[in-house]
Amino acid sequence: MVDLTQRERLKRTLSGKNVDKVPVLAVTQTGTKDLMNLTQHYWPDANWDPKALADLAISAHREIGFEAVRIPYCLTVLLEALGCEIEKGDETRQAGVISHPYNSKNPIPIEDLPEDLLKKDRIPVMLEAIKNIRKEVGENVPIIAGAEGPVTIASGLVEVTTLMRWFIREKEALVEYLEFGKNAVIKYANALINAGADVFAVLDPVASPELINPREFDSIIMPIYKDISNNLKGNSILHICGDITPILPSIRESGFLGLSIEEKTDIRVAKDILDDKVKIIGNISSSGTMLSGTYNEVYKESVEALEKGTNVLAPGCGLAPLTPIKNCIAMIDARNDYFR
Amino acid sequence: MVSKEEILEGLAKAVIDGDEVKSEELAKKSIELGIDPYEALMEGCNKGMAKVSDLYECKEMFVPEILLSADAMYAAIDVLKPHLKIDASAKKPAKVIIGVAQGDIHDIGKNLVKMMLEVAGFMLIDIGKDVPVDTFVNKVEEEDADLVAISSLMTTSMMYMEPVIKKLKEKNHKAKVIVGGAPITSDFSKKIGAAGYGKDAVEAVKVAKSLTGA
Repeated sequence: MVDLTQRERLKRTLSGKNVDKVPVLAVTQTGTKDLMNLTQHYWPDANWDPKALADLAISAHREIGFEAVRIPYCLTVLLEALGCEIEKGDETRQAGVISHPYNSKNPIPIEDLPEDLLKKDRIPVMLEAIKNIRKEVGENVPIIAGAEGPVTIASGLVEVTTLMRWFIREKEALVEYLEFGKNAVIKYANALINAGADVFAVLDPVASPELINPREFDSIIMPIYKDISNNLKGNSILHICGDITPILPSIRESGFLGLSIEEKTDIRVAKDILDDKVKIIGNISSSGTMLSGTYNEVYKESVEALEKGTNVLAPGCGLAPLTPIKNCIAMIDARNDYFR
Repeated sequence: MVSKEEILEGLAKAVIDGDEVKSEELAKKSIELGIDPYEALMEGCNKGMAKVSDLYECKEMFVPEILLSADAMYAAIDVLKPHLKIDASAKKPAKVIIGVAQGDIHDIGKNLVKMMLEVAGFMLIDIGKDVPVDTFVNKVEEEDADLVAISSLMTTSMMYMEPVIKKLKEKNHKAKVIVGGAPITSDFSKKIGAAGYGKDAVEAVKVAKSLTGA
């Protein structure tokens, strides 16, 4: 097979075409302390400056060898633009949402999306960063942008335990909020895709079966996901944390091209259920092996993931900021040796 | 006229159904009928909550259902509590300090564990979320706790668990530390020297019981 560029390889992989080797990259956050030291761009400021944001993201491609550039470093960009207060965090702490403007036992009706959503808070920073990245890395490297998914958006707006109760008590309001989140995701994702992102990752940790009944995932959340995957103008993938085996049959029909899984979900089991309709991305343990294991342990786990048939070799979740750079490089080496 | 059994069964059912209106009403009725509030608590609410924890363990109930059951339980407890007599001769319950590790503001898991431990008869002192290492250590000493439960949902905050364990060991404090949360594994808990690990709230209770002999 002729040499594929990294961008072609990822796109072909997600659309089920033949590739020369499995791509190795991250669809979740890549900002680590090692990379911050190398680029001299540190959290929290790197979240607010398009050049720093781009440079730190590009370093995961140049210094580690991940075959994509991935932004941002948190799950707060959309939620901030939708009115949540943000705690900026620090060098080793991700930015987080600290206020929930719609937290109420009796649901507050939610208005339409703000007209000027794409001009709010950090959204222009992200759009600018994508353009910077494209300029820097050229046409051959894919850009992956991620954002909080509809359930996580709703849980940010109303607070997670309130939202959980709505799953039983306030289904109508719940759907209203999920629709609102969906519309926000579609609008934001398409803007990022227009700016040059190749892949958009919907990250929805709150939709995990560790919190929500798979039956409700199927009846309430799936229609929302289908609308998202249908309405995105580029490649869309989904990431949900935890052991998500019970919801894999639904995800197979979701319309997303790829599914990013943690090590708690077994690749073989996932592959069996997804039946190649949705490609598997994962699942090297980011909180275990990558953070506190050795190079050899990450290498071994990567080979196992390849043997089990992962379609994209990737960390199972966002990199912990103190993840040693050599543990990330182990993934690249493992993939290269495997396809030698 | 309803019987005592009907009230107690009704209380348990209201807790399982997550019906806080019903559970409060039945708790009031139990007081009116002169039912021992301790019995209403143990044979009504706690029985219901034990069933809830079984249903959660076998994945028939999920977090939304548990939260509503907890609301129903606390609604009944609020009614019963002022009527409970303190039994001076009873064995003192084990004291647990619970909190979310520094750098982490996610407390849903911590709240579930807290509730399950309370139901299991532990005395809980909740020190909230984003709790600095020294606050854990100081609170343990101040309260002379038997157990410390630390939760973390983020890889960025799990590294603040080990220092709590180390500092308590340096001080030779008797308190044992149990840990849990999404990124935490049994291996990790052993590595940092924790006395126990629970993969979910139900397991946390089992571990807490075995460590305190409760």
